[in-house]
Amino acid sequence: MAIFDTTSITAIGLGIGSAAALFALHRLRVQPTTKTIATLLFWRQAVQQQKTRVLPGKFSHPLTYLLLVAIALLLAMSLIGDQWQTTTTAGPTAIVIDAGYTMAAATPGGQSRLAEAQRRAADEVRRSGDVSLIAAGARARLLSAFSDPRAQFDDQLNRIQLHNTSPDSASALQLAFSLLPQDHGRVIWYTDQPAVPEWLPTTIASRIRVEHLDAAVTDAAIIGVIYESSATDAATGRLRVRVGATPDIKHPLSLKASPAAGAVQTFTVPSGSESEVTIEGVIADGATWTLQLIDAPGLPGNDTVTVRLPKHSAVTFRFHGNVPEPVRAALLAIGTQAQDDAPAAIDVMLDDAAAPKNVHSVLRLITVGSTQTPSGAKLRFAADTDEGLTLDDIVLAAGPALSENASPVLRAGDVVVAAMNKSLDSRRELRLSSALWDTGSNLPKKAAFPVLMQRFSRQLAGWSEARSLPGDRILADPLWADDERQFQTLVYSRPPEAAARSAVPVVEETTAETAKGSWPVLELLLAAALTLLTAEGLLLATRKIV
Amino acid sequence: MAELFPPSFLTAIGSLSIHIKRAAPRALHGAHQSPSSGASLEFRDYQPYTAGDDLRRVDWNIFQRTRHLFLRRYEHPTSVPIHVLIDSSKSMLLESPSRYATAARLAAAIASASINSQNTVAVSVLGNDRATQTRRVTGRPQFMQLLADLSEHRPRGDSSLLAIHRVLQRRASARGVVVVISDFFDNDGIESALGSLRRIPDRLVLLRITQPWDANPRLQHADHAADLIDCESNQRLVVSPSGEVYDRYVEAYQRFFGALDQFANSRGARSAVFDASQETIPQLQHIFPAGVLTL
Repeated sequence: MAIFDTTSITAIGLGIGSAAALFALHRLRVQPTTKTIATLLFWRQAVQQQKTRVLPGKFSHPLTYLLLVAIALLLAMSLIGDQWQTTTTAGPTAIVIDAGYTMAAATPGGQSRLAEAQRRAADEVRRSGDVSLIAAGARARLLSAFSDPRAQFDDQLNRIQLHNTSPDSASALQLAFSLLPQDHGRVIWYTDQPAVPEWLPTTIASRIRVEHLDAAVTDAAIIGVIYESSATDAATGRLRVRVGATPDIKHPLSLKASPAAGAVQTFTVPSGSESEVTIEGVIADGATWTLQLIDAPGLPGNDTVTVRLPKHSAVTFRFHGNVPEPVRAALLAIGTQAQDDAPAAIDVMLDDAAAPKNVHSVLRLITVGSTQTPSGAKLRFAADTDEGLTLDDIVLAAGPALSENASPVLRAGDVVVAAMNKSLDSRRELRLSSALWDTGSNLPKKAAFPVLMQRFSRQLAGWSEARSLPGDRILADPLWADDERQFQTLVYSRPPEAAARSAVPVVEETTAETAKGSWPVLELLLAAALTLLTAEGLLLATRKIV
Repeated sequence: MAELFPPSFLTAIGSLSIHIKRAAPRALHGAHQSPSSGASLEFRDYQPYTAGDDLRRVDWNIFQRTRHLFLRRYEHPTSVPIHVLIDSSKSMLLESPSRYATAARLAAAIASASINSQNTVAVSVLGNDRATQTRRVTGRPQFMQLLADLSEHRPRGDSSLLAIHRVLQRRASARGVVVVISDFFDNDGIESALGSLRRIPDRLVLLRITQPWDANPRLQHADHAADLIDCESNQRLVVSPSGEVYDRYVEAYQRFFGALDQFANSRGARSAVFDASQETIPQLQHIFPAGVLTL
């Protein structure tokens, strides 16, 4: 046995010398000054990583000191490791290099996993006897046999190319063992796969040494991103990001969310086969967000997605030829945009069966009928869409022309769209401008406007918060006439159940509405109408005509 | 007492007041507007009558004129109880000038403003359970006694934020405003500190007392190794400060108090930071702009 040969004595001498030097450093270390402070909380977190890296920290604890001595001994032994290896490692060695696409990922050192495998294999063969080289790419390839010269091994090792597929590890290991004698020899497998496959027989698995390269390759990906508007404001909401991962991933992942403008946010993804991260406070401004799932640095794979948020501040319309110019003007007046080539535009047409069907959405306005009353024309019509949203019939008190007493509440450019009129019997009523009204066809020239009114009235009816006038104005307000009692329900604070008991004929909803936010156009129109009309203190009466 | 509360300070806080915009229901009679309607002289508005309403509140004059039933609604002023909780852990009294001195002056300022605004105020110096003391202040005599109490204070243990809940459980008054004055250091981490604060159901005001070296530890430590001792837990830690360590310290500090600020925002709590090494009087502007604390 050569345990106490010359090289061993040299190693022991080096170890003792190193231990002596470390002991001297331990004794001569700078003694820290003692200080009482308010809290150690932040210092504890600050030095958590630093303590093991700083020289005084290493020597301050006897156990650490002993550990360092042991390390020094091991270093000394490694200097003569080649000689020991050759005497302790018996039999041939088959080197299997994983050449799958994930080996292109970078290690923390900056080089690829393949380069790291090549470096380690080159070190290994220097202290091994007979070696062979197998690349596990799309298929297993023998690059250097045991009988080939070592120079060929080195040359083939450096020329391994990655394949854009998963490695055929089974064939590569099978090939490696077919080259080895049955009773001895070993396989060194350089791979980023997490462990020796379970399907390998135990007798074979025990002869494989797996050299792991970096963390296991993740199979996690972003599988869905949904924007949900908030209940109170369609323009803000949250992003729900669903992440899927294979069961072998036990550690939490990170999700980096990068908006087009603004700070990058990082979230921790809970471990699990399927989990979710919610990003709150997202503004639906049409911006593009990049979401990146991070497991290990440089991880390959489809772990980055780009999502484009909806844009609620402006909705584009595509007008068809049969849409009257006033309709176009009305829609533009409330903040929408006209765009002929918008891929997600809302197509607007009037009751046109020949309209194209392959469009994103269609808003149709259908005239149902009208009657004449002493106070003006009453129009009845409905709106329909190809998404199944049917708006109720509505009636608007409308006059053919604005009177002198009318005060404008809504303008489209220079045109007064709607006005508040005080009639001869001192009743207030909403009147549509004559510019909106075609008395010949009984069609509203501003066809979209009644839709806004219908939505607005329903919103009024649903109010639970007080919109009350000051007490002194109650008595002075002409709306208290008996035939206008419904304004009390609409305008004054009443709990919903009380409003229901009052049986005032306000708008009756008979059809289901699509979920909030699923029809952003109408939500936008409603918001615009609310802003314009409530700013003028407008009161709106709507009744269902039987 | 004159050292902690010099005459100039007492003069400065003599004109402070508190304005509470919207008082909590079931509060006592005082100077603030309550959202609940009740009986007093200040008319608020009318409400249409619905079945089941109290007929005694119907305005029959209006009925005579309009043939419609209306109820008269009134504002009734209320008083909001204010509870000031002072952290008295050892960290509050460690340095000179101490954080406690600033905390005591802030408590005195709030008590004075509460008296001026006809509110009841209770001041508790938090400590271990038996050491916690509470003084209710309803007028000037009790106020002077409060100043004497605060002047004679000695440190009362560690982690006194844990005593908050015990103090609030014992109070007799309705919910109102709770003012917590502390350095908010909790060796068990921010979640422990927030755990104590989350249990407070009242409207919150968080006043944080700092020293300059809290956020910038370079002011207190040189670049050589130091054996640091926690004044409350007596735990020791040897550190070798470097640029990287200082950066991580600042990062941990900002993370801790960022979480506290986030909590304050989520609760709609008022919060302010006071430097114990600086004069207290100029810093009163942080919570008393123009002499009024608005809640």
